[in-house]
Amino acid sequence: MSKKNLRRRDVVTWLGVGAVAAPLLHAPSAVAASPAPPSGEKSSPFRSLEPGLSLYGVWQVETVDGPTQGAVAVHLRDGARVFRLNVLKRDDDGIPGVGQSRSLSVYVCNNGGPTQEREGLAARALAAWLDHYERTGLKVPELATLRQHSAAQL
Amino acid sequence: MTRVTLSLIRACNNACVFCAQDGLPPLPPVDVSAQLAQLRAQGATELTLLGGEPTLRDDLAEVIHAARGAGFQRVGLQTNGRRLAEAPLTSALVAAGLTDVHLTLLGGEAAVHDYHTGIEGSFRALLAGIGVARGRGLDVVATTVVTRSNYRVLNALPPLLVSRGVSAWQVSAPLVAGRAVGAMDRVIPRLALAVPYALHALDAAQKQGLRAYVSGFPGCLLGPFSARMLPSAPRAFAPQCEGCPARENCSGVDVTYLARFGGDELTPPARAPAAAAQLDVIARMFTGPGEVFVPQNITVPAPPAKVREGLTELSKGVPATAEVSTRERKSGEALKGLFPKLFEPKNK
Repeated sequence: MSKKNLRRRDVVTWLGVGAVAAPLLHAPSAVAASPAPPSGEKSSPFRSLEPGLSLYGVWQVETVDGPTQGAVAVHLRDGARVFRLNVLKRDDDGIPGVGQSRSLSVYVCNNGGPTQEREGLAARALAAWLDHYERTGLKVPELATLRQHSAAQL
Repeated sequence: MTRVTLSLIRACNNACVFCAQDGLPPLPPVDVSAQLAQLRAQGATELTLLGGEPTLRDDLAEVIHAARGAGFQRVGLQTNGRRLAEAPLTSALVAAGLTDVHLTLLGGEAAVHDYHTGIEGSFRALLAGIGVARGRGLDVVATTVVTRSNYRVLNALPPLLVSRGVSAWQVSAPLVAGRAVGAMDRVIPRLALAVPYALHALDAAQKQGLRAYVSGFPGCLLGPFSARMLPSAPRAFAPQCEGCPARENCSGVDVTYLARFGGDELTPPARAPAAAAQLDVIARMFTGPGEVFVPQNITVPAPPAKVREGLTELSKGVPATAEVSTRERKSGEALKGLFPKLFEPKNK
């Protein structure tokens, strides 16, 4: 039941997340994104953000889809689990994503349900990667803000 | 209208993992009537009675009656709500003049709430208490202290609160004080991770017609909800907060948190924030135990790495009561079977 599950979850979180949490929680400028965006063939809205890419050696990109209704959906694998992050345009007057780059915001896509802490850390890892991507001057696709994306979904 | 607080008791029938009052000495005996008269003389017109847990005071109805007699137009309780489920007690408090209740609700389901309070069944009792309070015509507001264990499930709260007739909801930052000191890493969430989840939950609350407020978090992380920030005692500020246009109305960050993690998560906004929320009668019900803690309002320099390492001592020890009660005690022989390497003689 709940209490045992919660306790186990805490332990798993401590062991699994501790190693990567510290750098991801600092300002994006202090984060060294593990993969440098290389020059490769473009098959993704963000060049080189493609299946197989490893973020911090913890999460692996499974698929990158979109933009659909102004959002790029990035599915990441974390062990046996796959979860989804949405990349949208940053909106300083709206609700921020868990991770933010210069012009983009990364949201944990959970339809309002519970998630794991590692998914939030993954959002910050992807935001750090995107921040590095933007600094190199590579093209960023035209995306919607969360407010625009939500309105389009209604 | 000015709302003030009066602490009646330190004792509590919950054992919250983040309790900032844990370890404080008992309150000295005081003349409540004299204190009420003093608060009225200072111009206060509304009163919140605090604990610990104020419903543990046997003379609570008399205190409420005295407060109304002293001229307070509204008298509320800040309570964990469990004893409000006792209908005769709540009826007596209402008859004495109680007008409103400020509850603490820590999760949208029993597993989450009871884990935080350390008391199995506290969630069920709280919901029953809300029902009795609303049935007696009391205004009810609720606060959720954001912890590392509940920040990802805050979205479950707005529909629950709306369905129970709660008037407003506040999410609040925990302090690294009391019981949280011994379990900092388990209790205190990293702000950059937790606040976006809280903002989404507040947004969901507003969309469901629930008035939503936030307190104790630095304004620069609150986005559009900086306009829904309730005043709280200023805590500590990072060097990058110098010159921030929002600092005057900002709660800052807990001083221990800042010393431990630094202020890299804080990003002063380029422009002045929106005007603060107007404190109407419902918002004033969130008036908290400000007198328990001395406002700090200091700037904490970025700590050297060695200091941060030393501060990890804060996270050791003190498991939650719920954890203790569910943990199986094992004999030395049993542990030897589980972890044989621990019992191997050390090589010299």
